[in-house]
Amino acid sequence: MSATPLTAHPAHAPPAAAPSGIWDWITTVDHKKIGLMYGVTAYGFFLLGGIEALVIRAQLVKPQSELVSAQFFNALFTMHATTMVFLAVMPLSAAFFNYIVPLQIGARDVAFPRLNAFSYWLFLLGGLLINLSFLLGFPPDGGWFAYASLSERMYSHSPAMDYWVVGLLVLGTASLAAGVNFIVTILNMRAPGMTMMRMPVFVWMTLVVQFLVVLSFPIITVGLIELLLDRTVGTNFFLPLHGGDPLLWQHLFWLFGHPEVYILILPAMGMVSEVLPTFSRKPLFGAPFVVFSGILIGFLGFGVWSHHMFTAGLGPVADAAFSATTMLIGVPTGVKIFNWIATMWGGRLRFTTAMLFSVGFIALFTIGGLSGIMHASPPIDLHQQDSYFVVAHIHYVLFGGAIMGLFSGIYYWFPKVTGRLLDEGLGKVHFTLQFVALNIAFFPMHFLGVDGMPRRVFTYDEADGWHLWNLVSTVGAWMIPIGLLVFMYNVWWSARRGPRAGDDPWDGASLEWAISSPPPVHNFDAIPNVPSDRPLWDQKYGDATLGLDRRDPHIHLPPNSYRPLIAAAGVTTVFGAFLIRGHDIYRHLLDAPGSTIQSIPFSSLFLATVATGVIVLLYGLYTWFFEPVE
Amino acid sequence: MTDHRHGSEPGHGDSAGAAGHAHPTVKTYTGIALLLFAITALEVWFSVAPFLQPPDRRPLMIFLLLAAATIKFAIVVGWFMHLKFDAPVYRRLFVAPLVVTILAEGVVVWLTQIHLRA
Amino acid sequence: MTTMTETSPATAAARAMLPEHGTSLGVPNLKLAFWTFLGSECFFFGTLVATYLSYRGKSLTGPYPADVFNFAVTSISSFVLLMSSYLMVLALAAVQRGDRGKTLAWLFGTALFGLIFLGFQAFEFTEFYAKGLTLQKNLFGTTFFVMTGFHGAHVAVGVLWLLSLFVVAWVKGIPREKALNVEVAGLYWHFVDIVWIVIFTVVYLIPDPSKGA
Ligand SMILES: [Cu+2]
Repeated sequence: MSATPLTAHPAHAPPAAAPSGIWDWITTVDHKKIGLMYGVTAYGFFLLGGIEALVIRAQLVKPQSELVSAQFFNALFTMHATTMVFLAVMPLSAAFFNYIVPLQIGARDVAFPRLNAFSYWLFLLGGLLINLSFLLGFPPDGGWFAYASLSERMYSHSPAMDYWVVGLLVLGTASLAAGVNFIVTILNMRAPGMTMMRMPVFVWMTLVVQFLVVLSFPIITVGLIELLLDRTVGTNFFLPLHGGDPLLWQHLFWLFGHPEVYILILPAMGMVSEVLPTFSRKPLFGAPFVVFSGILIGFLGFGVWSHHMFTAGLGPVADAAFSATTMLIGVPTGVKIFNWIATMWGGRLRFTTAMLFSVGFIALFTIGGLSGIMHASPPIDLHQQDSYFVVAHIHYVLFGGAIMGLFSGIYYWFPKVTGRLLDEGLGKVHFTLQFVALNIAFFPMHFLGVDGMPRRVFTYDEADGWHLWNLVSTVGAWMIPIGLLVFMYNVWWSARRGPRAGDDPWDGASLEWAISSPPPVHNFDAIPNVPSDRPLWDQKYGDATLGLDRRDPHIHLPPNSYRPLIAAAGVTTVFGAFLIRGHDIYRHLLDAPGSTIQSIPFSSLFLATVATGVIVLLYGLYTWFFEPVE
Repeated sequence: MTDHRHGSEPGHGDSAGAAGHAHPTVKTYTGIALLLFAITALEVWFSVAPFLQPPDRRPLMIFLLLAAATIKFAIVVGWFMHLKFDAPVYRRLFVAPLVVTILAEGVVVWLTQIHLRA
Repeated sequence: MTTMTETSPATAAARAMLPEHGTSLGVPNLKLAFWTFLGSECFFFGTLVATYLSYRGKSLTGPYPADVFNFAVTSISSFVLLMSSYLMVLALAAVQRGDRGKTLAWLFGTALFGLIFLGFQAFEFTEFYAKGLTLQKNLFGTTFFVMTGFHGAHVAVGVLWLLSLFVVAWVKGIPREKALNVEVAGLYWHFVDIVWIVIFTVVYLIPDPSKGA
């Protein structure tokens, strides 16, 4: 940084009054701090979901195992998937959006810093709410897809699925707010000269993901509200008894659910597209193709959902149409894989840990993509549906794909965030253990699947012949935490003792490597001028200048605020009230089985909680809007 | 929700605002309101008009009603919400989702109705 | 935003005050966020309408739409909501002109028309309930009340928003540079109006295939 002191302080408050310690984290609106909070929280949930997976694998290690009950097994696979999708992979990606995107576009923060804090708090509260169910003895057990009518009160009396619905409603609100925020940030906060086609590919993929979030989450929100009303008020949305159609739930869920898989994978694709060029010392091969492929995937993502419903009997016309669109959407994905390979071709490769994870991503994601494209064919899908083959596919795409990509991002950007390098030796041990372990864990699932083992069964018989590969799979799964322990030790040690990274340890091309590590609170002393799609390389190896040696005379940063937390608490309370309603109904049904939901009166506790939530929300919003920020 | 902006110089946009377009005046708005009233009246009349009541005229009636609603929709969005006169980015942000939702949700309705009939 | 650019003196200082100053697209962040949000809302209401249409004519028991609808009442309430959009553009134009008296009048008028619409909706819901249509009675009741209920909730939020702006305009006035705050409220209000244009046609005017009484 510079010798001249910068006046980067909130207006209306002298720097000395800046909050400190835990209060600073609670009230922060700094995208970097919020990004770190997203990352740490999501990693915690990632470990929780991992423990659930390990118990699942332990139960399946031998036939007729009685480690957990069938009922608890249902809760384990439901919460494992729900946690990994909504509480681990999505918010881990959000950690990178928050920390990296403003740096890469040359901005001092996101467009709406307080809305950003609001999103984080909603995510945290929603994650806690849904996991509260374990403590109260009602963990959700209806699958992460919550198919009606199984998820209806008639078949799931207990409040378990209420926790799932309410938790996802809160998390969805968080994602929607973040989605709007990042779309505006990326479209409207770019540094001068950074045209859309000069944006780093990671920023592009973030933009596509945010559009998918903003357009697909309203669909599941409506579906969840309808299911919640069925369960707590007694409406008939998905109840065949009154003419309702469980297939409508499937349509709404997968019309959201398919874009959701791109929400999970595109951020990792973006990270890989940053890491590969850096360590190949070449620009990304055909970068515009990668970008347009991403956009195309975004659009087509809304036209393929019924490939999850080939076994539902939609008829030959629908099956053929959705089969065709699904095969079509494989094309842009394949384009990207070839672009990444071509980027490495002829490059001066440096196999750092980040690079290894990216290369691992390409290999494993390709395997997952190949098994995925098989499901595009209805006759094949009819055979594989609901078998372990699909479990193998999803884990190659989400663990081999998304998680490997996210770890690549962690190793790549850790020095920027902490100012210190992660230990490369330990990193390579981590990579090797994880790569080997996940293949041992997930590849045998292909065999189990084609051999007919159904997913979501809590046990099997010796005579089924599935013992061997289940045993192998469990051994592999239990090896994964060994690699993670190495990783966590590495983080713990390197964050304090690791070698100093300097501003630009990898010889990067994008703007975040042009500033100090960790970045100053205001990110850029001066807003840079962006000459091309690889500005820092142009400055280092060409005659371009980013103009970062200037200093803006006045830097305005928004002051800390606790209003977003209050508003988030209000939203969570309103939705959370429906858990009270769920418990009320359950108690009633235990006393008087067979009573209709509408005959059960609303308890005063429920009504009081709703009212409290609304008042807290309004208080939070009004004080938020009238809070001075200039 | 106040926006926080960096202090860079203006004028590097790749799609500038639409300043300088002809802008509707209060008189225009009044005319539009009268037009909206007239179309609504026409719609109500379509739904009760004797010549549209026979079952074989149903498709015509539905077509006329949907056409009228589309025109009203377009007028409110284009003039009252200024979308016709505003920066093109707004149009893209609104019309693309609108088209995708009509297509996707339309297919959902179609599939659900067919499924229940079978 | 266009009006402001035209009417403000074209000095650099004045332009630096504009909310779109220094942005990549030359448009204000808040308005960009709002149109993004409205795109999202298209999917929200699109899904509610799709649910209604998926179950159109599929109720196993009455009351059916033909048994409960009162076209005269709904036509009037639809007209009221449509005209509230007209008052909304007048309010925005008044803010942009700096005409405080008209600003107050039209903001209040818009909110009042919104309240009248909500009154009609409350009346309609009570009527339907008296005729035996409840949330739980059949698919029509379920889908109708939830869809129109969410629309009504949006109107209620809009009324609260407009009344808040009215109080701000009354207490300290809304200067022309802050017209954007009224503009986005207007965008929300018009959006709620166009959702009703769709619902009015699709639900009320197009005859339901189920047999009435
Ligand atoms: Cu899919």
